[in-house]
Amino acid sequence: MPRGGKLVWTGKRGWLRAGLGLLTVLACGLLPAQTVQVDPNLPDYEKVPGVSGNLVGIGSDTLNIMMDMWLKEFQKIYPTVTGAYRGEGSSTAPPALIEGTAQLGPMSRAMKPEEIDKFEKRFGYKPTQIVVAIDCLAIYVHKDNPIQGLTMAQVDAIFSSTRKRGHADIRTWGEAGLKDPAWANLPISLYGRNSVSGTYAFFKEHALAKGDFKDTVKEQPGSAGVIHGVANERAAIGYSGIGYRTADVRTIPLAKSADGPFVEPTFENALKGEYPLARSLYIYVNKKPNEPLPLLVAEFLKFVLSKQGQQIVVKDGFGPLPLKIIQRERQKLE
Amino acid sequence: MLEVAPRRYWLSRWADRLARWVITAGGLVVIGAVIGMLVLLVSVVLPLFQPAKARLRAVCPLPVAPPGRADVWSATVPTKDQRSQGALPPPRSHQREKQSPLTLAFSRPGERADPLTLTLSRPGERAEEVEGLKEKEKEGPDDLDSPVAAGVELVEIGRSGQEDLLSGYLVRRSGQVIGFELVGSSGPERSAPEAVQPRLLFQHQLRPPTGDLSSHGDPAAGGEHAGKVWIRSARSLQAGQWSLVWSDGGVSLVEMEPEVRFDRLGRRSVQLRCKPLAELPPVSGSVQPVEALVRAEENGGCLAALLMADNRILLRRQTVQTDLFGEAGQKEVSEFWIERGLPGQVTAMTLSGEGDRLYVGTHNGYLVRFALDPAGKPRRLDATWTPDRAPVTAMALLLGQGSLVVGSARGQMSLWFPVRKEGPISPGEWPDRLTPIRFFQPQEGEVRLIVPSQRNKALLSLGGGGQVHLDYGTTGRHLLSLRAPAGLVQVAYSSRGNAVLGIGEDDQMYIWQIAAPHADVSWKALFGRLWYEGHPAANFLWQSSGTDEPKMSLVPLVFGTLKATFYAMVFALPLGLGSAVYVSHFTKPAIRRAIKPTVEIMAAIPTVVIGFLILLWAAPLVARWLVAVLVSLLVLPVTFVLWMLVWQLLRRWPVLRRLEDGYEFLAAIPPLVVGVLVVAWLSGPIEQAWFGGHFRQWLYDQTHLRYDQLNALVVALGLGFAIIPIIFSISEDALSSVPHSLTAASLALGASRWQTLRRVVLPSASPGIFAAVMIGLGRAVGETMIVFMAAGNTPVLDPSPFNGFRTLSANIAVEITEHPRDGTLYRVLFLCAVVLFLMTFVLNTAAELVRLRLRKRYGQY
Repeated sequence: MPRGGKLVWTGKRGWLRAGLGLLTVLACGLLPAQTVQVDPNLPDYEKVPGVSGNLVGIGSDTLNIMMDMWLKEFQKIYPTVTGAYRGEGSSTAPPALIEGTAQLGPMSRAMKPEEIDKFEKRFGYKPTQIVVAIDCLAIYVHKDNPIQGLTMAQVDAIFSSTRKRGHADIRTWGEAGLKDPAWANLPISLYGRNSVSGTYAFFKEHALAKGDFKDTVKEQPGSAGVIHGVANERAAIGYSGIGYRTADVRTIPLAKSADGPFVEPTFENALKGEYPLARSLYIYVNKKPNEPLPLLVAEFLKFVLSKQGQQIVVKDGFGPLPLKIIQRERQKLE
Repeated sequence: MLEVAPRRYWLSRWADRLARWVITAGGLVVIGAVIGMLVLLVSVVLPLFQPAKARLRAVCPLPVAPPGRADVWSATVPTKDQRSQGALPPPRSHQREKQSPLTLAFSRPGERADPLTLTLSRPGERAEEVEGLKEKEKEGPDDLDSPVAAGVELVEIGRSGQEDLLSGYLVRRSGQVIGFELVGSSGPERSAPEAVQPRLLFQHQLRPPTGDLSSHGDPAAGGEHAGKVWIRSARSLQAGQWSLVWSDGGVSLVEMEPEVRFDRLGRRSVQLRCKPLAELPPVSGSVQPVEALVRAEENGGCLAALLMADNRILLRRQTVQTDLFGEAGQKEVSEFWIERGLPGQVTAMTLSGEGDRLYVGTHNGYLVRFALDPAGKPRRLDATWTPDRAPVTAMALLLGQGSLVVGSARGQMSLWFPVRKEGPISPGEWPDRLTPIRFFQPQEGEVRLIVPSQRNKALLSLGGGGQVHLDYGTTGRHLLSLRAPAGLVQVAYSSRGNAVLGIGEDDQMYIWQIAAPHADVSWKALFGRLWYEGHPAANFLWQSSGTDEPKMSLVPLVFGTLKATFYAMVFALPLGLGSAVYVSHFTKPAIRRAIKPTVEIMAAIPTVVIGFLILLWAAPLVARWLVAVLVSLLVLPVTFVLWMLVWQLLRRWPVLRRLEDGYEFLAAIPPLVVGVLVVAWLSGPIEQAWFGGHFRQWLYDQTHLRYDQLNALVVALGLGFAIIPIIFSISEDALSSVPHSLTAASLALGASRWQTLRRVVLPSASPGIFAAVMIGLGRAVGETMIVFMAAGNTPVLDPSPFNGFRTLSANIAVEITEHPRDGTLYRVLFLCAVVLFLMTFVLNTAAELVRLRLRKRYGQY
């Protein structure tokens, strides 16, 4: 638990926020309105002839809007291409790839070894993983909630019944560090994703250190559902991708350890490795070794890994990839 | 005689017969379909309860590489096409090309009359033939050729098992690593296990940290041993990573992993990757390490726990700082000794994956646990007796690094993990204690080795009697016992958990293929209390995904189903029955004709719409006006009764007299409406006065009951919407079909309307009313959409109406898309369906029996 008093700057809250904001702006040297930009050295997408067909994607709910936007832009370039995406949860992607019902399997978590084994058993080789964007998993609270920040041990103690990070159980906002009498005895209301979601699995592995969730976490079927729940309940806390933020909720900075700095969920911090809940978003495809991908799928992925594709990533609120990673991933398509 | 025309007679007879056949056939088809569904569900569930299977794939002698050739060279494996063309052995030397790869073949000694012929060549050299096998030279203690470490890998490809790749490696005491593939274990003509041959893939010589095999001899060994450094002991903390203690005191950590590679033409081959990860040169001083556990850390650092010959433990941590791009920076080394705090001679040791816990077992039956801080500094946490006080001979941490399995010299195998201490904890005191949780089937003889699975909580153990046990950690279930004709001395478990390699005392290798796909299921896991890692006690839990230890108890789900049904019936039964009784007996037929269809329209609303409205509109409304809702539940009946008394005075007024003939229910509306409005208006002040301004806070403070927005109350409202029409319709029909002669007779004899109802009508309509209630109950049990959307889907075992629940039906809806086909959880979801099926079946059968009895008793008219 962070030392008492360090979190509650009731009088100076507004000044602190302004100060942090100014520092972020100065440090990044970017315009205050747009803090995320695509690397200008990324390659542009170049149209090639002969691309047509039907693209089917099945997988993560987190990439729902992004996949739809990618498909729409791709269809603008190639009008003869049709596409559809069904985002029900990351766990629906491996069975779809194995059965052949989808060519693209977007996932917000890496495939488990059992899923890779099943794929290998069916096809004889492992699936190919392409990193397409970066996401920060943010902790959301109601916009009136004055909490300044939480350590990972506190997050674990709030959400988990096994508390593997060793912190004592936190059931009320007072135990989480709020001294304000209006909040001190308020029991914390927990919102999360359901178990189909890669976000659920990622949070369980990285925030709860593979522990168990409390029974009282209300499982929502979609990322937006968590935000909706948190926005409507004052004592609520929930986790979801940073791209789903609305004006009714606020994100809180996290610290890796009790004496560490509190880091905001931004993509710069994610790339630097300072934000503890940063993750990559993937698209898995079935690529036979030493054989090229079908032209339609290869061109779609090249589009995703181009400047235009990454601009769509930014538009949806996720983090674009730096040039080095784009080049590394494009090589996997060869 | 019949007065009917013959043709008509025969026509009607045939029509009767046809109708009878069609109806019988239809009935049989329906019964067949229901049974067929049950059979389908059970067939998917049955494999959960089948035992694990093992099949012997290969029995062959230990592969031998000719001694003296200690250089590094590797071999490519001829692919299936080459094998089928009979590409072995390689042709004579003059046909060799400069850059050709190396191929080797072995045959079992004694099979051919002539001695073994090997052809070796290295790029750029002419080939040479080496005849015969040299005698194995004894060059170390015991035998420098005896294996200290082994690994096996089975890659299953395709359904028939004909393309599977079976490979393994051995590390000899001399430091020689041999990687081999087992030829003939798969392929179009699959051979018997005895005919499988090992084909060498890779031979490598490991070197001690001092760099030279012959630098420091062990002076104590003397004689032939002088000038040779060999491996004193090898321990594995993780499949493929071995920490080796050399005879000169050096320690090295090596990773060995068989992997499948594809060449440019798409041909598959297995290569062994042998990579040194970390090493520690010999510690200065006369005392040498007896055993070592080394864990490699990020960026080239490592943590080593070295057990020295004088029963002290040296902890040595080397950390390297890097930034995101992998540029190495500073190196820091810290050393700590554990000297006191060891209550006996150390006989077994293990280190956690994170390098934060060290477990030590002693010869007098103690288990000591140390916590290591980031610098490696140890702190003794607790020392506990093992139950049988026998020397601890083997220890291993299961996947997830939370559960410790301990094997003793008497063969006892137990599972331990830290459990939070109860009561207040003083500052500085460690909050948990290592507790024994369960015992496995005992081994014969002492437990020599425990190998945990890399995929789940299964573990393999080797006993002194030479047999191997496969057990599952979470449930304590014994899955398999494997035996060989001679006792087994070494055992290895593949990283995918599908193969076991055992080395027998007769220097034969035995490789079994293991199939235990549903190892984590047992009756206790599904229906009993199980003590899971990190929890304070045994409990019923459902938390099926995102974890190495899926919790699959169906008890919270069954409880949720029952809770939903209970609250729904509490809400729907009085309303449905009451309105049916009123409409059938206290109103005019005209009103009945108007109300009945309206209520039946309620039944036609799709349940997903009801669930949706509850989720988005009713639940927030109830949460906001919670005090009003709860107070009105108490206040409205009282108001109603008072109004009835007032009505006795008011009804003398002629205007209201007209309401008497059937429209009395209109008079009941004002008190309800006014009551609700008054309570709503007063709810603010009531909350202020009685509950300190915030009811939910007061509830939590007084009773520790939480209020969730999605709870059993709002679900009862929604389920009520689905159930009330059913109960109303059927019981109203039953009540209306009581013969009028009975009611007329009763009224004629002077009974009031209420007495007639109670004494005559209800008993004779009781079969129908009972049927209505049972049908409504059955509907509530199986209802999915309303519960799925409005109940929050939290699998809690809590009867409070203020929090949510998860039912069997909603569980299937939530989780069915997640789990891969034919996996454990997929089958457990089908088991949920079977349980639901059986619940409904039992309920309906019991209801039908009761209904028949009631009919016999009351329905004579």
